[in-house]
Amino acid sequence: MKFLLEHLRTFTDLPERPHDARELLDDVGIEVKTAEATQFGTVFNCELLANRGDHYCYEGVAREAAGRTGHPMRYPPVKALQADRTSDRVRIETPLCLVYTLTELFAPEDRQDCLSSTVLAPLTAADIHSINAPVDASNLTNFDIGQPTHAFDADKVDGAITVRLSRKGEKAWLLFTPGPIEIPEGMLVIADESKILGIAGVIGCADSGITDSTTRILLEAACFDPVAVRIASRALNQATDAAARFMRGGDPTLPLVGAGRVAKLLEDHCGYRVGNAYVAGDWKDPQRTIEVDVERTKLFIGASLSHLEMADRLTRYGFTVEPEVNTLTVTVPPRRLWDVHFEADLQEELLKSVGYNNTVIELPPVEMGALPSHRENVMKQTSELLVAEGFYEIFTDSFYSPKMRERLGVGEGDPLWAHVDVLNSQEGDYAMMRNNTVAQALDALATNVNNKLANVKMYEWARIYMPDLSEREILWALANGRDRGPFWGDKGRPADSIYLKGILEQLRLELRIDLGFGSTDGHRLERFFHPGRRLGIHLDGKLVGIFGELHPTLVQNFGIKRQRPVYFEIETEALLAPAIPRVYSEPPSRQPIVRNVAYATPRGITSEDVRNALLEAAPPFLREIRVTDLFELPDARAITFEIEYLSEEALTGETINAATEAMIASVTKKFGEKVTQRV
Amino acid sequence: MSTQDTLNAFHSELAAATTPEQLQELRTKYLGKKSYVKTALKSLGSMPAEERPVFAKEVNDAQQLIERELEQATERVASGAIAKQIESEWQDLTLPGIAQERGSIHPLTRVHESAMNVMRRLGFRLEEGPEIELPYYNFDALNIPENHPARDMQDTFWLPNNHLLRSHTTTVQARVLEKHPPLPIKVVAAGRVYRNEAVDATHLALFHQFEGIWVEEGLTFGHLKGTLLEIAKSIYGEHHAFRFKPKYYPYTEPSAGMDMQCTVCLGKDDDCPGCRGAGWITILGSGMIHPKVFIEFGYDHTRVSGIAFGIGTSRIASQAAGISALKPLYEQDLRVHRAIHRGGL
Repeated sequence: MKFLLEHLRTFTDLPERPHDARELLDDVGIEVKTAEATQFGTVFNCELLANRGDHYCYEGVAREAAGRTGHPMRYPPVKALQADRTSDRVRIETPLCLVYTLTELFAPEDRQDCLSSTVLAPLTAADIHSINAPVDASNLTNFDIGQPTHAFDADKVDGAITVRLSRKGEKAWLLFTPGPIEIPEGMLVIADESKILGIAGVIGCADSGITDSTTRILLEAACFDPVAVRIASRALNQATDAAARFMRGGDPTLPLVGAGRVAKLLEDHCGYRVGNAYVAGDWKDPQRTIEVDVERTKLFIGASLSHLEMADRLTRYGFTVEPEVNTLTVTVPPRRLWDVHFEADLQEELLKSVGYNNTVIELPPVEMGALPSHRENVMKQTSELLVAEGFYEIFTDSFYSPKMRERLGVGEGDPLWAHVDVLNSQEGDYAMMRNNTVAQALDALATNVNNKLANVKMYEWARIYMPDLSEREILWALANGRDRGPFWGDKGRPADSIYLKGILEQLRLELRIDLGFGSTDGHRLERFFHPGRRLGIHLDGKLVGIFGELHPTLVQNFGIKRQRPVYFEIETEALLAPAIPRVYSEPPSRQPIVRNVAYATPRGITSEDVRNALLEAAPPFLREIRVTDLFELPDARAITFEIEYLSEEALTGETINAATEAMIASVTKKFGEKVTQRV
Repeated sequence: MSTQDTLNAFHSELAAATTPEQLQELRTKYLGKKSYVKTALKSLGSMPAEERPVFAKEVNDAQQLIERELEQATERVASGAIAKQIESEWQDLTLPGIAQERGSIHPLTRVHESAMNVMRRLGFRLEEGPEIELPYYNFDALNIPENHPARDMQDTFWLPNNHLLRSHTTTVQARVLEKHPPLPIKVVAAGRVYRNEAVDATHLALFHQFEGIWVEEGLTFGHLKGTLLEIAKSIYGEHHAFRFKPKYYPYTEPSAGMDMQCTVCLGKDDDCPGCRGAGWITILGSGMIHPKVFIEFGYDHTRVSGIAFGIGTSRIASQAAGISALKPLYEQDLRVHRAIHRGGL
């Protein structure tokens, strides 16, 4: 909301320099977002506290400043209205209207341009254009003292005015709209004998509004239930200044004052004659009182105020205080009934009065610090491993669009078809919550490949959202291009599935969890992978993840050409498994003895198959069998194994050779001629 | 052959030897089993007693001389070989280094870890919570009833079965308070939050928050300020100026915002583009836990009090990375992340 500094000064004394005035307002919670020099002087654009309806006017802002400075408040002149509380000109049929007033105003013959540009300056500063004298006076009053008013053309009003709930099928033609619309049943409205005149606290209707030719005005000033106003404002999509004021809680004692201010402006400047004023509503001030413990409050706010000083400061904000040495009994003014309920609310007022930056600052006593949890440690260790391998952590959207699901090739009946739908997303991309992260990973890869960056390594600690509204936490990583570099003398090797497997093996070692690799059967992402280049990640017999090369068709669906990305996903919970205890084994005193054996193997027989066959005939002194080389042609491949023996006893060449022969024989027995030994 | 002849021959051959192998041959020839000195020493027993001491001394001296000179020659040859090797092994070290280039954790994670390090010193622990929430934990329990204007402050993504995506991590705090753990409660909640807003450079549907609560008997507003200053100085540095100002958050009373003095103009330029002349930039929101929140979860608000604060980690991370908008943080363009990580290096 925009405030003209010079007009604000008419309500209370403020620092001379605009910069100092701005600091003061900031300090009391009226945050000045920008300050602008205009022809009328400095204009502050302020962000107001969302719960303080009384701040939405000059008087409210000035009161906050005066609460801090102690300077007196000044109020604009108001015409005292004689209220008729017995007339049947106005009726209230619902407790959602606290007070309702109507004031008769009669226009003079000549009423053009009666409010000067100086009087209108607060409106001009707020970019509100002049309409006509009654509307301008109404707007000025709302700006000055925070009481919205509305002018009806009395000649368009049919009989008595009633504040009631709308009826089924009832229509109203709201101001600034093309025609009548049906009003939802049960909405708080102002009506005459034949039609709706306005939506209470929100907006008036076109067929009862004033024009330049209006001579008799019925000026409405009222106080409505905040929730009723908010519901109507939202339902009709009408965010008006009046609604903004009322939905934060109005002042039930203010309507007649507001009407009096409008009357005063029109009478003094424009020659209007003020007629009768009618009041309806039996709202009674509840006189809410709150006890404030003086010593506790002193300690809490960190300022040495006496009970009398506290009382004085609270009085500046309009509270009535009965001060005792130990306790203040504070009565809440009507305009603050909406937000002041507890001792803490009054402590906040005292803090604002003293200044948030003028009270004690201290650190509470701290006995002992805390350590990172197992989960935090595991995530950090894992991230460090991936980062050392050149991976970048990213954050991707938790959402995706139906188009993304289409790209994944997920159709009805697929386990990944069902999603959590976002019911009110403003953007199509946020229509659904993701139930996997493959789409995000490929989308990210496409972005980078399009930017001519094909060597990509990225990971994310992510959540996925299940149709039953549960959440699962996973770690995913994607690699594409080369496993390292590229460097000027070292092109590396492809970042392929074997590379990812190596990372997972390192992770197993780092976290000391018994991750194993095996079938992908039953994994929900299985079909996204190349059938010949994927493995499941297992822990304690459970399938906890999957890795491998993404299916070429899927990659193409994301517009990515000539790339072979690999991807893994593992449940975060699996990584949190208890670490296997470390067991130390003494390094051997003897050196190991090594033999190499190579096999030509057909497609389908894995290195692990051959290794297992070798192990079946392994002697007790076998230490390890390692793959040391792989030679592949399109239709054949050869694997070299290094067999390492070690014993505390001295081993002869004959013993070693006999053991090796026995293991070779085991392979021959198992696979026959399918697997042949290479020299 | 006499001892002197032997020494003459040795010196002649030694002068010609330039490799370790040639020196080894000389060692075998002049000090080995069949060498002159070994043969001569074996013959001592058959010599007349009066000649024996003189001859023995002569041969021993010759043996020691040969050994010494062979040692010196060995050292000389070795150092010569290394010098030659060094001369032949020049490397162009202006070539770029070759080592696996590290990736990076996300700037948000970096800020999170910095903040967590401070919080742990104060005894806080991290608590997780769901992103798909019930309105009760996101609103009602936090003193934001239905149709309250505060709900407009956080436009919400609604999901089926009256669920929503949490609009703040304060939901986690509500769940912690509900469990009534023993006092003091010192908990940090951090992670993704969602706002159903039109997306632009500074407004995202998804961003990150970092919140903390400290519930104990006797906590005061001074404790709130002291704790926040400790956190802010740890994150931003001791040399910055900070201030507090009144704010409104439904779940705290009193509520306070914390500003840091503008690092661009230090509060001295009314036209500063960094702070738009305000001189200050808001870095976090905070307050004392609202009595209604305590009442909702069955605490005696006249006995216990609580500090609560929330930091927009996304904003801090973008400031730290030197980028003016939040959006790049959530891009998947690794050129951006690499540029942030390398920071000009």
